[in-house]
Amino acid sequence: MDKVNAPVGGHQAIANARRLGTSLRKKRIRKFVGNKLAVFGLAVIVVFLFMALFAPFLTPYDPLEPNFGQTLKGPSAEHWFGTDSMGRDLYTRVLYGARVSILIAVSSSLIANAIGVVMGAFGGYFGGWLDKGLVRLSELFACFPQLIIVLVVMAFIGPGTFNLILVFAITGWTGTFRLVRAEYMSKKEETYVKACEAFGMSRLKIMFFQILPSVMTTVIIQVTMNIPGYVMSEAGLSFLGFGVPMSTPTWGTMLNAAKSMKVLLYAPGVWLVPGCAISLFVLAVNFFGDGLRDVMDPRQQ
Amino acid sequence: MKLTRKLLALLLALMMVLSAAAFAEGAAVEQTLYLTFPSSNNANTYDFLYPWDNETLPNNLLWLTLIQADKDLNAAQPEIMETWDISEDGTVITMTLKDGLLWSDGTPITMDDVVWTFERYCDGKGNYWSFVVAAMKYIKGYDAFHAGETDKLEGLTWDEKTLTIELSSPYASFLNLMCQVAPLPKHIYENCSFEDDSFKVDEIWREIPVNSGAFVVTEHSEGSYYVLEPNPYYAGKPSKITKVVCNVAEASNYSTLAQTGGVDMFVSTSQDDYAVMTNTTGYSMKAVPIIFFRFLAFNFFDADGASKGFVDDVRVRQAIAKGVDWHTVIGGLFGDQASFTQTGVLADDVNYIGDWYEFDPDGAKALLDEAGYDYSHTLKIFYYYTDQTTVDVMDAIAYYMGQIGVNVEAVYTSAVAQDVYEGRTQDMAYFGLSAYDSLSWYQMYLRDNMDSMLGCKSVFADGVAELEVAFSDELKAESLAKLQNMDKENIFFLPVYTLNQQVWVSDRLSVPDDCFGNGWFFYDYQFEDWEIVK
Amino acid sequence: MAKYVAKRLLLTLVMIIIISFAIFVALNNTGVDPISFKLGLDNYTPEAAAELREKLGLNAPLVVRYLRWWKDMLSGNFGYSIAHGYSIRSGLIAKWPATLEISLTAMIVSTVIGIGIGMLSAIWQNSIVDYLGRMIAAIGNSVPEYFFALILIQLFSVRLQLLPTSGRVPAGAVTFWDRLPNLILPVAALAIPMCGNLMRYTRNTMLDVANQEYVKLARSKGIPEWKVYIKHVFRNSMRPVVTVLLFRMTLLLGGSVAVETIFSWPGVGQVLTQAITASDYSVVMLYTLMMAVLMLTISFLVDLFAALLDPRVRLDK
Repeated sequence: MDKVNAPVGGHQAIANARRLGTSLRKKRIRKFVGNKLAVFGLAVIVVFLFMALFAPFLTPYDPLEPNFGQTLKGPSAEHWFGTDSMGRDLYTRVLYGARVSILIAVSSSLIANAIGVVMGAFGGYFGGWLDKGLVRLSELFACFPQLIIVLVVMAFIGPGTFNLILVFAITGWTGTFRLVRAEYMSKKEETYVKACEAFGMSRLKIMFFQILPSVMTTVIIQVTMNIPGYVMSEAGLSFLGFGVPMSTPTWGTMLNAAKSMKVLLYAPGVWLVPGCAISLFVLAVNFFGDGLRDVMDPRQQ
Repeated sequence: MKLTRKLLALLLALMMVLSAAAFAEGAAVEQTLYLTFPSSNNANTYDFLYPWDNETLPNNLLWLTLIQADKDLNAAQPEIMETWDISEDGTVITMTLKDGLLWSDGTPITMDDVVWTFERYCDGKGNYWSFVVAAMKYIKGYDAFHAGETDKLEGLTWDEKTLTIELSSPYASFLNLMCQVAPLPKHIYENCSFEDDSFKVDEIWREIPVNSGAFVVTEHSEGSYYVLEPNPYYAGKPSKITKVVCNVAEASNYSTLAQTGGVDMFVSTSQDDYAVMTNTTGYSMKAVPIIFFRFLAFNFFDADGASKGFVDDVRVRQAIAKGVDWHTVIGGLFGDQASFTQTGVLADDVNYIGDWYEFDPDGAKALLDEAGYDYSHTLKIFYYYTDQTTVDVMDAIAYYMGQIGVNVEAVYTSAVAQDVYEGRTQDMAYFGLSAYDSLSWYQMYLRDNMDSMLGCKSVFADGVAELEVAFSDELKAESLAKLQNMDKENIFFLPVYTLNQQVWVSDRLSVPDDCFGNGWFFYDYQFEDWEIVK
Repeated sequence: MAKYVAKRLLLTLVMIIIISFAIFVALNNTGVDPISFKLGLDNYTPEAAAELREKLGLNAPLVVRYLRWWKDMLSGNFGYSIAHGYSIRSGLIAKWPATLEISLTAMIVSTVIGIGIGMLSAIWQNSIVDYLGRMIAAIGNSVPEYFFALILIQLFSVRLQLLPTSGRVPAGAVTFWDRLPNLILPVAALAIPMCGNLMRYTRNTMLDVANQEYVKLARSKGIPEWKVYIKHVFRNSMRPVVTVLLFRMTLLLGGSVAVETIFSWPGVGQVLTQAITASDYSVVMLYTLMMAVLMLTISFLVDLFAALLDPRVRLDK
């Protein structure tokens, strides 16, 4: 926002703007640090990422190796969170599961938002029939349960980790689209855009080099706030048997074990562990996202 | 008339007093048996033709079969037929009708009803148990009748008293299968359509329940319950239980229903039910070993019929049999609720001669090397059960094979028939088979769709034909030994385990010792002696 | 007004046609043949599949079959499931009420509780109610409904043994009260996450409105605080809240699929997932359509309601 709003001017003006920028950044960081929940969220996220990245160094077990002598055991010194129906260490599986679950959520959110931004930019900036069409399309997506769209698309392109990301991206762009479109609609009336247009700058250039940076705040917040939804959706779909292949440990495929009444009723640890991992991670991202929004975009609280 | 009534009332009163005295508080127990079923997708309450799962007990009460089976499903007692006899060469079966049998509307059960029922089995329009239909195909003239070329089954000749069935070739279990055939009242249902299960919505079928068994439907509220009470025209020994209430509840498993009360007896093969029921008081369980296989079916050819060149070498299949620690996997996942088996015969059957493949990863590895197995290939398994136990079995196979350098990928498919038989991208598929007898397992080798994956038909044709005509126990043992050796040599299918059937009986119900067989079929439950004691 | 309604209806119709056609085309191209489910493992051969396909008229061109589906729809019998052979109409009659029962109950429960606590949170900002409300909202926002469902079963069925684990109609149930215990857990599992959302949204909207100039003006005129809240704040914050509520309905219907699975609730969830895996398009299309029609109707009612509530909104725009 800071950089772009400084119109064509002398070096002094730019320097001023830069100074303003750094002090603003400092102010924001201070504000963020003051938000205890947001800092807690960030800390949890960092811990989760660390655990996912360094999983092999944090556990002596193989996430896939069965040990039929140790099935459905409760927490112990060897198995901190207990074991599942094949005697595999739950702590280990949560670590390895985090890799796939977080990867899916983050990449889905990034791609979905990229689609939303492009569509929103074109719709908001160009307006007209294109805009109308895109708005109708997004309404179409909003008027029936996302789960059904996801399932139908999933049936269409087939299962698999990459396809799951693709499906989330195809079906998840509408929220960002609406926000970005609204921003573009208001921004295109602003003076600096009019000025660029008057200079004969190409419309694509204006869209992506002039307006986009000022919309990035909204987008970054959107990307963050969408991640929890995808974590939960991945788990939900895997729970219904539509997600990633069952043999890949993810938080969702681990939860699938709760479909067995035996596990559901008499071995709660098996589903409590991945369930709590999901909830904690989602809670952390939500707190972090809220904090981020408070700091970066005070209008939207 | 009046006097008789009075006398009768007096007699009844006297009997009640006497019985009350005899049983003290026992007589106060209302003899009502409660059964409960989870509602199926189609919300049907009962299905006479194709009883499924726990519907089989009420069906046993509603219908008489031609011959009554004992709990091992062998022809044992007269039921609709007084006598039965089979010729030396096994091709002619003669049965005589019992006198004085009546339908529940009071009309006599005649040979016409019996013949009409045979015709329904043979015209291919209704949905019947496939293993019975498989036997019916041996009746002379079946093909012509089935194709609609003639309206008379050549192999059937009958008069009022005697039915003679002529088979085109002998079929050893034909008589036993007559225990699974319940004649229908022709005068009621002859105008019903049986095509594509449409009888289920046929009003005649639903509104006029006329049947032959010890009980009749006296009350029926679709989708919620039906009540059975003694059939006044039933000639057999009356049951102590005087009312059977069959509730339909919207739940997916029996254990939930049992916990809320109202189920006196049910059968299940579910590990979930087992876990929940062992934690539920007031029930006891009898385990019945049944033929309910889980097995790997290999596939040698791709969609165009060209050889894939991986599992078609028998040494690779042997390596899979040896490379996975099946005993540990099955024991770990099922405890004593499943039996490990390596042939098409139950492990506790006297004829079982399996258990050749001990867990031996080094031996498996040697076999693979010997076969020149391409370790860069990923073996693909299709599976279609979604429960966690199946996923666990798949994971275990992938893990153990991974230990000897073989990559295994287990892929869930919902469109299993299409993917397995037509897509053919798999090297194996994980199947389930519930069967009436060992013959059904071996007949699987003769199926066209299996043959197209394995080329197994020609290998097994003679052996199966021998078992089909194995009339004596010795012949059967000999034939099964031969077939099991063929199982071992070829490993077209690799059986993994069979599940026990659990029969759960509530403490308020007393049943004769050892009366339970496979609860999915018609047999003598000795229901007359069942009693509610609490 | 009439013109608006007509336009809305037309738009709804167009949407329905697009949705149904999209699903029809997608499910016809999944590569999964519903016929294979009907034949099953025992009877399937490519030849048998081809024969049955011919018999059921599935070889007709796409458009012909699509129009045939509309014919079935309009005649009101909805046709048969290709994969499993049951009459879709009787399936619908059996399953749809169960799904509506839990989603609508959850909707009502969460609306009352969510908006209620949200309002109290806004009125008594930074009080203990506000603090608790925000905490519940944060948790409700982060815990997936199926995980809630599992925890509820563990707590209330296994530990406390108060409520049944699953099913809708217990054996021998006659009245609504007999099966009320079965309703509580699934509804709670669906309602709690939604409550959190609504609470947060109601609170924030009310605080926004409460800081608007006209509310401050009303206060400065000496109107009692409760009157300010009822007359100005509540009225003006309800419109966005109702809109959010509407969007929640789609989430509810979606979320109920997993919750139905856990509680063995005999709703459309299982039928729908089964039908989608089988590419049983006539079933999927009908259920999706039912949901779309429900959504579009609600959205229409909300707009209508908003116009009645707020004279500034005019419908003919």
